[in-house]
Amino acid sequence: MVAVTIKKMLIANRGEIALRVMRACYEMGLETVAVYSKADENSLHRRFADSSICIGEGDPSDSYLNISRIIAAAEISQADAIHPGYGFLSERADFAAACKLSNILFIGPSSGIIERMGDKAKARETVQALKIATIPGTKVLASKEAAVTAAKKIGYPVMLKAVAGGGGRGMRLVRNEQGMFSAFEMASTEARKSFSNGDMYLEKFIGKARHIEVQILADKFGNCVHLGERDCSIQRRRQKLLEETPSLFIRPKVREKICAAAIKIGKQIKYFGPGTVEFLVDEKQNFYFMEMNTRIQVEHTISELYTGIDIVKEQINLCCGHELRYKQNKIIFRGHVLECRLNAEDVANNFMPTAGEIGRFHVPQGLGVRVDTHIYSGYEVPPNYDSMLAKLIVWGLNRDEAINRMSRSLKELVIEGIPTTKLFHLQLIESKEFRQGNFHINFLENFQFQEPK
Amino acid sequence: MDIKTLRTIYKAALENAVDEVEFEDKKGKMRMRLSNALSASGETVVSPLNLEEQSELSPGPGLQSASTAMAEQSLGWAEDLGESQSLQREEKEKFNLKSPEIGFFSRFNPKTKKQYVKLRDKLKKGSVIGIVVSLQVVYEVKTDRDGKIVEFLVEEEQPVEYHQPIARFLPLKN
Repeated sequence: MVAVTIKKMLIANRGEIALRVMRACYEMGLETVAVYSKADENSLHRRFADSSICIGEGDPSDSYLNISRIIAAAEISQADAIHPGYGFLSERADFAAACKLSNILFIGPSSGIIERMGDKAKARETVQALKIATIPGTKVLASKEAAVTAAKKIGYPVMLKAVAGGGGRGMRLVRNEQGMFSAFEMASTEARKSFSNGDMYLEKFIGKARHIEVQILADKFGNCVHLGERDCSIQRRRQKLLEETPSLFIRPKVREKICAAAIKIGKQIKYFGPGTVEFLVDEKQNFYFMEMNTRIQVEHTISELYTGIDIVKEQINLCCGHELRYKQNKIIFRGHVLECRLNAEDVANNFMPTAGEIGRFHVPQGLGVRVDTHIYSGYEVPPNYDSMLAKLIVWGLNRDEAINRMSRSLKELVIEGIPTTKLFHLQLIESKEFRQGNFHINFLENFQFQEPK
Repeated sequence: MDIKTLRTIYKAALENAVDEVEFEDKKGKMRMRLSNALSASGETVVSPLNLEEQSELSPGPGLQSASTAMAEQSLGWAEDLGESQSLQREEKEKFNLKSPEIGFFSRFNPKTKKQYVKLRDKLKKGSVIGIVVSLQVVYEVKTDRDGKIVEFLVEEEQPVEYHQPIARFLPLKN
């Protein structure tokens, strides 16, 4: 197999991830092309790219989700590769296929692999065949009546999930039979709207569970390594707010097993590039496969600081067909890393997403501090997209140092003009529970935010 | 040489921060010198060389991008040159016809190989003025009212982005 050489990368995304990908491209000597919607005319990703192309209106379906416009943009700019970032088209098998058809290298796995892992039910079957535990559950449910019958067998509470789901959409916790019908209707409608697929399945609900995921890197020659696990248990309505690596919770033996399981899955499906295998871990440290993400993730940054490996650069190399540059025993894990996702949300108003102009803006600095953001003073946050403003990532020699560093970095951070989750993160990181590592995926439901006086 | 060409050259000179411009086409030749503190003093020196009066002139190809950039800007300086009010009104009424898609622009009908329209042709609403070819699909660029094209802003076979201005259009007065 001969590796492909590329010259010009089109980045089919916006916000901080578009900048993140450009940085990797420039360090690799690649030219970049930004695509932007009319709502993003003043965006940094447009400014930092070597060239930029307007691809449509602010509504994502007209621009960042518009496959033919993005392929056309690659054609007129003569880009030979497309990086999809995360979200938008990053896990769309039809997009990967469209790129291939147009002779453009898609920076991600093949459409076949995306399809296989993107369909949650198919993915579960693949993993079960490897004798890796999945959460007890069902296949696609024919109706809400079938859901009631199946839930009785599994035992309440159960998780109702969309086959095509992700990001917490099309997902409902059902505590008893009375709630099933309405939950099914709502989740199915939501899934149909978000993913144009309303198919649902059931899973047993595991209380006080941890969300532990493993970052893997694989090449086209059957080599696969892991970059350790990430604990992403701090979530609000299934949206991750704070991630850390390594996990304080899992025992070394469990870590070994869970990382080995992730590699086994990667090898089985002939995966290539960076991927994330997500597990739920119960109180007794039994782990269950949830799903695999076949793209770069928001929180890839913490694994980068933990290992020193630039995952986006590796991704480009691996997708070009190069061999993996690292053997597992050469990967060095060092210290402890935390990431806060700062969102434009009004915490006091039920985390209502907000838009508007950024006023004064200052980023924290110093040893072990990294900020990935697309905002600047005077930037107008458009209402059309995700509310994430910045990722604040800190590294420390140990967890205590990382927490103290995160705390002082949050205090150093200034974002004026619109409400943000900064103070929420500060209280969270300084809480006794977080310090002690005493949390699980439903922890935030009972966490009380103290409004500043 | 008409006022529009002068304006185009003037703007291009300003944007590129040059002090002096010499310009020549088959209809004439001129030199324009700009003082440094132009905005403060308003001083502009234009010295025409063999300048022949022309009623109509489209800008040379090298200046098209500059004219695109200036299209939406105010033209207050024109008063200094004693330009008539009617021209200013015309300037205000003109607007851009935009590309509906991302692709390559052409003024020629791919079947007949003929130009769809010529500059200042009287056009009916819905007339095709050119096409944008995107991934082998042809999208027609049409007028949405009666009027005429006064300037093309994109060269033949050049790439265009979504809603990129393709031509300046002057609607017909009612």
